Amino acid sequence: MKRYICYALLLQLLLLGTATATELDALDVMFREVQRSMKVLKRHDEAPYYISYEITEDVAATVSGAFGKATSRNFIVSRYLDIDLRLGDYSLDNTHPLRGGLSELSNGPATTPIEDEEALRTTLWLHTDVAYKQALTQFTRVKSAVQSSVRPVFRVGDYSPYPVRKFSEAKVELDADFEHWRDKIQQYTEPFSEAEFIQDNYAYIFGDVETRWFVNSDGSRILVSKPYYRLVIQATTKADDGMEISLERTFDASTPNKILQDEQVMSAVRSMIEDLHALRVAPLVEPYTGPAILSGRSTGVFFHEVLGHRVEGHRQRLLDEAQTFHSQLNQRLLPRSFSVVFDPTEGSFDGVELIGGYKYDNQGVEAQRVVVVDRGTLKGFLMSKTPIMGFYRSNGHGRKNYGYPVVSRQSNLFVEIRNPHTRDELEAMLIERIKEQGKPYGLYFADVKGGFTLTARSMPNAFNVNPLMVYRLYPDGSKELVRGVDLIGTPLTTFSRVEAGADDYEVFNDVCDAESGQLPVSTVAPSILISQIEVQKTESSRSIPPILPSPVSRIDGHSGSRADSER
Amino acid sequence: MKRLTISIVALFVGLAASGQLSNDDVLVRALQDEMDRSLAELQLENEPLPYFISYSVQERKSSTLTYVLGAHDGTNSSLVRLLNVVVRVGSKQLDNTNFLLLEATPDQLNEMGTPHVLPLTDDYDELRRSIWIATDQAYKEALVHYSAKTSAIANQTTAERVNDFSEEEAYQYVDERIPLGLELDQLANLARQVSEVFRGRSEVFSSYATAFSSTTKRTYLDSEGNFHRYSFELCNVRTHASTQTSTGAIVKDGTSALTRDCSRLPKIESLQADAAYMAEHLVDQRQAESLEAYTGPVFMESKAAAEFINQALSGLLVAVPVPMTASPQLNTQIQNIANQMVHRIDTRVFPRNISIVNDPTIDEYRERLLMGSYAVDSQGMPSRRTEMISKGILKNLLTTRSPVAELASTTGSHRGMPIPLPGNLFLQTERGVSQESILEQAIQIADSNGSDFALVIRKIANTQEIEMAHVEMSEMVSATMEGNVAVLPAIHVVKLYPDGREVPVQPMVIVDFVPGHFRDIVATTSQTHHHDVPASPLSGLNVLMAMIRGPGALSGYDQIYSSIVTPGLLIEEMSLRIASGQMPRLPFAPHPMADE
Repeated sequence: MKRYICYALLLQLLLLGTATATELDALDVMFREVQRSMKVLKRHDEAPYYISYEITEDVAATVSGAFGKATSRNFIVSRYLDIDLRLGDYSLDNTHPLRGGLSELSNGPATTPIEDEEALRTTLWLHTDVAYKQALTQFTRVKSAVQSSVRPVFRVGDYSPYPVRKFSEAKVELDADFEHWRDKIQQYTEPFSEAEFIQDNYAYIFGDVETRWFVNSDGSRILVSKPYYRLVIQATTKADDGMEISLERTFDASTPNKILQDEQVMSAVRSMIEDLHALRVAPLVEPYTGPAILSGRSTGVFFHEVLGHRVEGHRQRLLDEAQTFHSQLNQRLLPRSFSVVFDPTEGSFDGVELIGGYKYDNQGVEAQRVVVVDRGTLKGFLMSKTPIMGFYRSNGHGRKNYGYPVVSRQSNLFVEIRNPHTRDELEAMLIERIKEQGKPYGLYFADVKGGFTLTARSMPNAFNVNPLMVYRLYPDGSKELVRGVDLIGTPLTTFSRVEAGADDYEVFNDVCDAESGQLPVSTVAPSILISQIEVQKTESSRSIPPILPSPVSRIDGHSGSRADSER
Repeated sequence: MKRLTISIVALFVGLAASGQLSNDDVLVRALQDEMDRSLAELQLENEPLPYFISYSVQERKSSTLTYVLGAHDGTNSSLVRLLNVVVRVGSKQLDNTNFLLLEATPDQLNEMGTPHVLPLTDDYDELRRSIWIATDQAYKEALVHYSAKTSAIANQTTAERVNDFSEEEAYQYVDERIPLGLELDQLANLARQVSEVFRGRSEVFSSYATAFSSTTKRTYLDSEGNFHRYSFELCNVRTHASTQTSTGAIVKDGTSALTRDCSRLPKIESLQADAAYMAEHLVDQRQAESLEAYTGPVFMESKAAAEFINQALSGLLVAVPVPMTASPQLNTQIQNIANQMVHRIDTRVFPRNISIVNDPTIDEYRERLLMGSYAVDSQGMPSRRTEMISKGILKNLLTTRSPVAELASTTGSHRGMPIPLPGNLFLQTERGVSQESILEQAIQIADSNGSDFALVIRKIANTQEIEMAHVEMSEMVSATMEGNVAVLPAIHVVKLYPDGREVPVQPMVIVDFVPGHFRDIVATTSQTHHHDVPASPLSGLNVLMAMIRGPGALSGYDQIYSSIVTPGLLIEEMSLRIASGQMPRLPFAPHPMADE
């Protein structure tokens, strides 16, 4: 106990020290250095036409635990510098994609101090020089490749200008109380210790304040600071056939108090234990095609994987990308009742915070609402400052994690339904489709943990959504929990089978991992009916359960205890 | 020299051996109970029970703070308690260890030996649960290896096998002292003040200072009655700086103040003075001559000699069992990169006036703590003095409980890696001379070779003080695989002329040095010095073993250090070439502070 208190005090001292020291106007120092670099480098043969500096500071704390006990704690302060230095001009620069190789290379993250002018300017100077030398090499290759190619790879240019933006907000302080978080982790994971069939348990509370200082040679200066708190609870059991079954619940918000709501979390924990107990004995599903309903959370992940990644602008440029929707502009993709909007300016939906929002993207462009599908018709793409044919201006979706190059990425995805059905109506429609198709049952995807998609030409252009809870829905309306399937398919075929949507919107918050690193994203979507989906057996460990029984026996009548499982 | 004070709490000795440890020690009770149950009952049908189980628990609190030019650059602080389990099935003659499972996926390899997280609090039930799962996993991995190994042996003609695990007497050791380490604010002050030394030095392009502190409480228990519990701390204040020469070559240097007793860290003034000296030397290096190649006499001052002994020799002084695989061709290749010194015991490998002893039981040397001191190794074996080389004759190699050829017993050298590591290596010489006369001798040898200068090496890079580029590390690994002795670049090198004049040269790399060349040490200084170095026993097989984590390999949480006590060494003939590495153009823009 004493150790935690002591540590918390020291942490506060350190954070206070950091806050005081950041009185230096880092944006001003960075801007002066970017101006100096532009001026000095102009004297050389190849002068940069654009330089931006972005410093990302993460102040992060984590407390982990399992089975009612804390297992670790961690506190990190990191500051990373990313430099985007461009030679040539907007039409052709050193980041121009080359056949057989990526030229849009990042220089990799460099740590940097932020509180002292000499330290900051020295770091900026040193890494600008590295970036300039790397850009010179890249640009030589680019010019050579362009001269020797039969036709230019792209005619739309490599970068686009954007008006100067100036914004600064107060830096947020991390609200991390290790002792409180430890108590909460222990409280939230304690029930798992009483359910003997739970083989593994892991939970953590994570708090992070990401502060970004951005300047560019055009004159933009932006300081944004965003807190993010996440509670993750994971538990794993094994079915008798050896299949490992995991469930995960996450809670995301901008303050720790909002994720540490005892009633809500404990209810989720109880539900996880009950669901895992039920899943252990649930029948396995064989590969199947037929009608299905996706819950709001499942729909969100489905749209994120199937549509979202394929409307990211840079994928319409790269030659090794399948460019699934590139030629579908102004064509119908979905029923007329469906619209899909990306809106990073939204902070919450129905009281639930959305984590995919931001004020400015990583290129100094303000967040913007983008209608990608309007009444079923594809209308646009998510754009960074890298243009594509027909879309020459950023719409504020140039995103990255530190150390990665910016590409266009998703933010908050909204699936909007005009004239929606009720959930009951959707189920009735599903039963109709089951009967029409002569299927014994349809599927209901109640919850998912995530998914992935392949967008390159060199591989099948497919997606995979990983469900947590799947039910068979029989023509008589009864439901049966099943396990062991993934929702798979190809985008155009699957989209052509989307029929209708309901009015029961749900939020799904998660972290998306792609070319520009891990980024928080959200989806807001209702249940939808798809006339035909395909499922395949899920990949899972089949190692045998522990040989000896658990040494911990707490048979107290709790659901899922040894007594229960033996019954 | 001062010996380690070993405090064994008598109460624990008998209890640990009999498995009846004090009831108030929840962790030990949980470990012991699960071990007893597993030894008696952990068995798959038609498979053997474990014949040996060990548990090692490390509760570690650590913090690292980095500052650049007096400004905070990063913090990383953590507290965690980790369990490593070793399960052996079969028998000491033939068990599941020392076998590389070729069909293992990278994920499986990573899992093997990966520590398990334990609750931070002493809750018996939850500790038992974690230990149960970890033991189950280790047992199943052991069975997979045992089955593959016995099958491979049945299908291959193998040379006479030595046992897989040695017989040793049980040993118990308890030291109840609890070190406290340093707190975040203390570390912040140290790193900030030391990093401020580089302010205003625009000729130093990049610099930082890092202050590190860790405290670790270690508990070890095995099925043979070995038991130990002790705590230790590490503190280190490091600096690193780099710049470019006028021709573009990157030169870098660093300092490290390392101790096992954080209260004995040097005073801030001393740390700052070391950093300032290093910075000045680095700036001098910008104008250093470049010497493309050199062959001739080389005098290594004691700091360089210590690093040379550490990097070039210590890897040859350890005996690593050659692992087998299911592939006879691969087995032959592995045999070829094994340390051949095991076949040279009782032959001369060094000049007759030099002896080398490994003695981790010695605590201090000239009132400075030795970093290679320890009382008990990671397999629960007591540390001990081992005579390695006596009057030039190789007498022994360092071992763990995995026997190698005739080396059937451990020397207590398992320090948390799959290979043995030295503790404190003492290079003792019978006919030391003054540094002045050794330099004269170097000049004479050079003169007789027709050269007008000799080389003096004052410092060889080590990975603790200097950030090595990937290419430099790759070159080292390649050299070891080719049977050469690999040493990181010599970063303080001067040409010494007959009139005493010294001319600094840019970093150089020792090349084509094979173990037989140690006999070319023609003179040593009478003065010996102590230097703490990151243990890096590089040799072909050691590199392989370090890359492939065997089952139950104990993960090290901290860098492991050795101490080398050595005189300066004069080597009659040694070849060096200019260090390769990046030669970027000088910065296009002037330093921002110089620009103003």
